[in-house]
Amino acid sequence: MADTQSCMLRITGYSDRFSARPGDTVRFHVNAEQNESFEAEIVRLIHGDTNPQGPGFKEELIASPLSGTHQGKHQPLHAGSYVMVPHSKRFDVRSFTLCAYVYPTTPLTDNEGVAVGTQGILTKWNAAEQTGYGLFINEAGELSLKLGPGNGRGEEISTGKPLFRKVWYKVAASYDVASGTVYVSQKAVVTNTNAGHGMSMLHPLEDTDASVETTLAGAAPATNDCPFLMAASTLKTYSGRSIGGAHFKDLTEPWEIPAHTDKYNGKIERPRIAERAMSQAEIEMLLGAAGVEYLPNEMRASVVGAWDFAANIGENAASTTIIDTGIDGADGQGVNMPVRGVPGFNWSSDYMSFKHGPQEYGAIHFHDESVDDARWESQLSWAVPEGTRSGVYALRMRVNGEAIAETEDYIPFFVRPPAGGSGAEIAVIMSTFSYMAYANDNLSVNSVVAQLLTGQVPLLQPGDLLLNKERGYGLGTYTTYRDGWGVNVSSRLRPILNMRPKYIHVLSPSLWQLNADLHLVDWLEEKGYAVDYHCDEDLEREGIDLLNQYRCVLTGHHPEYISEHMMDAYHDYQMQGGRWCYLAANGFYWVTVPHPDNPNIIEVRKGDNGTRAWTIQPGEYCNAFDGKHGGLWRVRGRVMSKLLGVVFTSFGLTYSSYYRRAPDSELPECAWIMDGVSKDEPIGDFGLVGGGAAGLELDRYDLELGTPHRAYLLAHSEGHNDIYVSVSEDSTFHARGSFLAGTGESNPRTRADIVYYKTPNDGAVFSVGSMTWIGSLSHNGYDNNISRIMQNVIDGFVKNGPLP
Amino acid sequence: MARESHAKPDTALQKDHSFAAVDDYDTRMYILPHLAQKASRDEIIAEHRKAPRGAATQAGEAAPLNSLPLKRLLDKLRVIPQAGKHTIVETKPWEEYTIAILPGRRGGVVELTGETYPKREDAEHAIFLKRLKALCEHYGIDMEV
Repeated sequence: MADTQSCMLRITGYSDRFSARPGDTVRFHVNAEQNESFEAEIVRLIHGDTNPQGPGFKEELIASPLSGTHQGKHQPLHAGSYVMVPHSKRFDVRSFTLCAYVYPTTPLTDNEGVAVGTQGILTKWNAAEQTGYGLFINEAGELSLKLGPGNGRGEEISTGKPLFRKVWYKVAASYDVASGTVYVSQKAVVTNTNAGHGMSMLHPLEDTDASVETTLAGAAPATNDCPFLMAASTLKTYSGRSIGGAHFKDLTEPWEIPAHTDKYNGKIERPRIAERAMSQAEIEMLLGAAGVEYLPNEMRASVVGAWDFAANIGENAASTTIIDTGIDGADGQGVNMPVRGVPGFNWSSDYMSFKHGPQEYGAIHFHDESVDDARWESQLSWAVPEGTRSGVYALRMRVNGEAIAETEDYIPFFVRPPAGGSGAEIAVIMSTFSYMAYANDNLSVNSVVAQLLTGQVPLLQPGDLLLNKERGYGLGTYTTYRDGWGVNVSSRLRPILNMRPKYIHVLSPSLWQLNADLHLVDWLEEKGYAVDYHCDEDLEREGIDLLNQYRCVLTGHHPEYISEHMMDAYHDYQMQGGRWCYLAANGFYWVTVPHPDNPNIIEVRKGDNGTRAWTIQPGEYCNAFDGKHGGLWRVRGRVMSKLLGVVFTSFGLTYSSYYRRAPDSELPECAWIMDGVSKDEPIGDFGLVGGGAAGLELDRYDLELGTPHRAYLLAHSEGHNDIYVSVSEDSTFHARGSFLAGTGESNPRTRADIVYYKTPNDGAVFSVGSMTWIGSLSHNGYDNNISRIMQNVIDGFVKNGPLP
Repeated sequence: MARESHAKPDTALQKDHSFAAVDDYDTRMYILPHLAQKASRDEIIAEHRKAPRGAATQAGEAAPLNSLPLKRLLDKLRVIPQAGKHTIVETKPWEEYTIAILPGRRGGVVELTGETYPKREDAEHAIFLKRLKALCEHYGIDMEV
């Protein structure tokens, strides 16, 4: 029997940037699982598909100072979001009160039925030494107070009743050192709306409401140097890692963060700590307002911290700074990107956005698997030499120099041309927002529906095994957290193990995203075109000026995730005479927002419409990063067909089909595109992704959805099998026989359309409506009708003068 | 660890009785009749062996589709719970495919069984047979007769 660990990837990492120009330095953060040494090289990636039926793997070794052997080091990832308030003497309390509203989402087990264990709500607790104090959910799912007087003595007093999932509670605990009185209380706060999809008919309340009062002598908490944490407790006060800069822009100097544990899943609102045991009536007053300005002065002076999570919500809810309204101003920082601006205990559904009703969005949702930045040490860097050609590059790492799947990993990045361009007339915009959105989906292990979508058993590679062991390294927007909430944030400051050359993707018979886009990179290289490569984040930052440097701009096979600035730039490029090839399907679909202070992190909300991996919870439609409605661009009046001529119509993540020419392809305006292709030959009945050029996801023209009125139909595909289903945003009533809900063999909308149209100032757009088009380019030694059409279009687009 | 006093109410509803009952009904009515007899069962197995992962559409021909009995069976077998479900690990790229067992949860270990095949299609068909055997055993169908 094979060793269960023998096939797991042993080395991985990430870079500090995706996009670099000559003169820039790229830094690499490497984790060697078993502290093994590794050989490093810089390579230019050309073709990542190892399929023996294709041209095979192609990379070019680039001489660099980092070439050689390096000692590896294991670097764990500390996932899980929390708020940290640094230690101060004010938190060294002997008597105290802790209180908040909480909405636990895994009080006992997660959605897979796995026990979650102890979860910290408000803690100044050293879990290793059992010192300090903290309000927790214990292993039995009950609210509990922990007191650590020192010498290893840990006391725990719990309510004895379980907290229910997806119910708001008013929770409180206090300790009075003089009398030894301990008080712990959990009381459900249930309205018709506040729980979202949780219960509003909680009966009998006694199943969960509970208060206990007892005495415990000599249990005053011992002081420690831990920070005050919300949604976790401290394993080690000093982790050697720190936060500062980028999305922590309010910090004037870095804060060293702890190694944290007892991670909580759920929401918290209005957390408070006071330096004496308060009465129940006083606790009601403490929790009765967002701030402390209405409290009597004596009470207010006793408050150590009273954080208002809605205080700095405005146009967005992206700040990591957590405002303390108390007299000490003990502001905190949210680490690992907790989700701000979510519906609170008082959410009435009168407002659907934190922008319109911040007073009802005063909660933060914490997840124990979220990651904003791995914060691994960087040991290697590469200063991109002047003269380096633009392209897709990677740091190649091989444990002990061994080139087998479990000892080899690549960290891809992209080299742009020098500022001002290389003189190339063609640019490719690499779909880096989409690579991030699909990051670490872990669907092979987690998703039941994946086998239906693909019509096969998933294939796992060594990176997938490591990814599952590591709980997804922060996951991506195709996954739900263990409490069932969708992952709405993706950072690239951690390994993205499905964004690799040689990778076979669960959502395809072979390739998907970066590795599939290398099919295009290879073909452009093979045909000798001079090309500049840029990333989504470059277009987001530079806009139309970037595109206007080129006669012709291409996308990869699936630019599904796109920001508002990028949409504007593509629109303006078309208006100003740009010529653009959309070599994809299901592009420009989801509203995507980079963090305002850190473009390495994006946000996506999947609304209750669209072909989606999860559905947003009630009241959570708006992006924290820009306050605007998230979900489909289509519901914001920017359906993809207005920019692409075609719209997402069907998908089947299985074998592919081919195209037939349509009559418009013979018109004088279009015939040049089909030069060398006979009228009746099937187009693209071959290829490395599912054996055909029309496949995976498909787009159709739709005049009702903004396809330009003078667009031409050059070809359409046929013969898609019954794994192909219609997209949910087109469905109204699902009815047998209705093609709105049909499959490949019964729905004429199951097809890819090749659409071509002209735009002002001699611009044009060529759209293929399929994700497998570029996978067919290399067939028969690059001599085939897909390659021919592609060459006709690009050569025609870069030529001076008007189009035919 | 949940305390006994915190156990969920002992009701059919909490145990999702209806789903299991209707799933069982559907299986008995629409799938088992094709599995009970060796001849029709072997026909389904032979059909699966021809193209375990499907196939591309050839120009001018109908798309390769599964027969209705195989389609219903496949859809049923593909949605069994993830914990303990068979999967494929590529242990040597393009050369060796190993059957493995999913932990059904993040953080767990994907267990390699040591059962290997030279082609992905072979591993796919082997898993189909394992799932079919388990289904038949569950319903008391002897695969040998």
